[in-house]
Amino acid sequence: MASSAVALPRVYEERGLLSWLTTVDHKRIGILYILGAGFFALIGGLEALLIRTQLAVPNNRVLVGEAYNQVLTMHGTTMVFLVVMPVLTGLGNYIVPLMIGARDMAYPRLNAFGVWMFLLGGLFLNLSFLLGGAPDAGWFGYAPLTAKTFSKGTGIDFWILGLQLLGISSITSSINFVSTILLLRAPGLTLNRLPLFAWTTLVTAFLILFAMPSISAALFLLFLDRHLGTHFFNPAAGGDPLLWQHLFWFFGHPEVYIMILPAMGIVSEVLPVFSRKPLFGYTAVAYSSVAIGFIGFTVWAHHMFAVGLPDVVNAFFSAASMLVAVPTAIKVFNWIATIWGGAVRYRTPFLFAAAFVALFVIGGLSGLFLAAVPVDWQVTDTYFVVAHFHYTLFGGSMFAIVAGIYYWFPKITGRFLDERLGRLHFALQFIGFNLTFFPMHFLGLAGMPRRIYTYAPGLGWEGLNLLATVGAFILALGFVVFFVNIARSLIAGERAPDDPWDGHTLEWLTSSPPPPYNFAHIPVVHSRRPAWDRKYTGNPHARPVAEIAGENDRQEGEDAPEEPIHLPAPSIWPLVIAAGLTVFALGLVTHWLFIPIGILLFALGVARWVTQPLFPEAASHP
Amino acid sequence: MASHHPAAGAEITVDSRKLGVWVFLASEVIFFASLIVSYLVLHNRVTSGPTAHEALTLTIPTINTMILLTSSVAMVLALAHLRDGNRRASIAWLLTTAWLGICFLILKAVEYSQHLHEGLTPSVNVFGSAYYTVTGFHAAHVAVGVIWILSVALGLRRRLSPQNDVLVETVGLYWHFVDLVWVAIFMVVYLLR
Repeated sequence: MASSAVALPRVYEERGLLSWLTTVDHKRIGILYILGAGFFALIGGLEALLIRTQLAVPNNRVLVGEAYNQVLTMHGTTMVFLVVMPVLTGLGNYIVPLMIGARDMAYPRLNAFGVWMFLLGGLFLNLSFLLGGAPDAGWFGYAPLTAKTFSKGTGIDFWILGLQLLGISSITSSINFVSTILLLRAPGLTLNRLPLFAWTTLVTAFLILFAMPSISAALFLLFLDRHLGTHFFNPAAGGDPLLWQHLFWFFGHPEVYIMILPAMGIVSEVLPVFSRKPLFGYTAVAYSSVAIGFIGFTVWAHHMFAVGLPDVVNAFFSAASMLVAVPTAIKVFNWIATIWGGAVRYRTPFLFAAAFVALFVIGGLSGLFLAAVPVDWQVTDTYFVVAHFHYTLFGGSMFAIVAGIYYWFPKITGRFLDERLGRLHFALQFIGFNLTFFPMHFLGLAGMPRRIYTYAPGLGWEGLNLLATVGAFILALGFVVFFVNIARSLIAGERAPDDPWDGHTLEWLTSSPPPPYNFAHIPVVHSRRPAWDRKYTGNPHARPVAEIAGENDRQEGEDAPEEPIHLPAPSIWPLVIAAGLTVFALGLVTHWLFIPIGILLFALGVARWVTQPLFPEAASHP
Repeated sequence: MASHHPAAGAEITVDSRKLGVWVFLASEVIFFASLIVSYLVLHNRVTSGPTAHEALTLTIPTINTMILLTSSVAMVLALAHLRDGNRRASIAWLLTTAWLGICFLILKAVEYSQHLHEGLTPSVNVFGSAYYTVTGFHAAHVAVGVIWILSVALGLRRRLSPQNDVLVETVGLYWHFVDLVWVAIFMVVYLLR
């Protein structure tokens, strides 16, 4: 890129611990999100194995009573808030700015704050194991079980404040995604040409913004109930436990779509590239994401069919829930039509993405069962529900996430993940997943309740439970292979070119890994497959992509008019603010002395953040 | 501040900081809606102790409504003066806005102390719980607004200019939002008591 007409920016220090602690680069922040989520996935996965070990045989004594409840609660909370959400945020952070031809996110320092808040919030939540016991009331925290009367320890307080810290992280990252995707798109990249992963990330950001405050308010009310003696969820004094359920599920159901929509976006990127065709029905897929987002806010009470709401209310929420099937099926048919007739390359990303479609359909269909009130009454709080949501969350989100990691790993690291290990990983994960969760449908229909830590012999549940446990260990083995593959490929993986998959979107036009400023020239977009324009079409601007990054740049005068590139300066203050909030929360649960320390750190961080210029170079040369 | 301006080809052109505040406020709507709905569901379920009708009077909240609405006018004037290039007048109106916010908080504290004197506490009954929570979270937002305004008017005053009016406009958006929330609370909590 030496011949480039643009003055390349000053690149800040890229090595050493301090460079990571102060980074504001969306790519490094994305990596931090993904690594953090991977670490918490180990914890959440071990918790799942403990649960399955306990349930393998009747009257087992591996993990009983309160300890089981803690592990169960932390498994759910971890997988939702510390694994699936942050890994999707991390992929979005890394990929979306590249996909839309931006040099960074709209607010680089807020972005850094978001990742530190996630990492510290996750550590805070898990600290509860060491400080008096983890939360044990389920990931949904139903009142009045969470009241001080019934949960005396600090576990619930760790849960409340941990989720608040993670909520702050989600809200800031969502504001960032909305501004980035709406404002920083490359010239010509209209919303009607926006890649599907960016579309679903945008819709998800709005879902988080409108769903998260509801649980945030509910958590505040619960905290006040526990520590100030208020009566929000205390029926004896006129409070209402159902109020918790409404506030929780007004968040909790959109949360389901928060975890699946970006996953659908990944699949909508992977399937066309590996089928060597454009996505079938782009407009329908994009708009059905928006439709799912809207309908997602009108279905929350289907989690409450068994609490005795009036029939007309149940009927409304039942119908609304079934309505979600329409935009979802639109997507499924479009994905199938995308593969149909394509010159399919059966590489690992494709295998996981195709498996996603199949498994997600199973989860969607059992969701339709549960949307029917009479069926729900039969199987509510049984393993049928556990089977259902693992088919959407694991068979759905997690398979798509793994597809995304295999797909973008060459872009992020400059090396391929090993294909043979990848296939082995796929086989183990696919078989293990189905062995674990498919039998749970039958367990649920046979009446096995969820959340119990053991069961008596002779109920007809033994065989299927053992099968599920065997499946869980095969699944875990699959992830061991995955982690080994990542570690090996990082060191000795096959070198990847800039455009290893013959991709469609802008991230494949820059080097692997991309330079800190992403693109020396911001590309101009003419279609939904801007990378293909350059390679194949009769578009007058189209040129084959060469393997050297500099050759990707277009001729003079053709690209967007350039301003000098300025990279935002690194800053430690986002981390200081996040640490301040975490220490403050720790003070609320443990020793009061942490409270003033937290406030001081927070105030110091905010004051220095506000006075530190984002672009010192630009400020000194106005 | 090149990065705050949208890329050349984008269909949507607005300063990114302003859009960020708008999006954040949209999220805050749901937060206050959740609190106000909780209040509406619970405030009539009093089993003992004072009810909304017995405990609340209109004098202080009415004065407070006028104070906040006036402060919004002051905020509008602060932005207008800045755009006219009159930085001193802009800062004076910002300080006026902050001062009115402080007056609101003082009167709110007086009102709380009257309630406590009459036996209305957060733990006396569900009405007390919901009342203090809704109004308390609003008052906390006013306090944050006052700190924000003061730091713009005093700490960042050298950066204020007609080209950089976004510093005032963003805090103004927040301030008007907090006012609007108060108007909703005034109607739901006080007028419908």
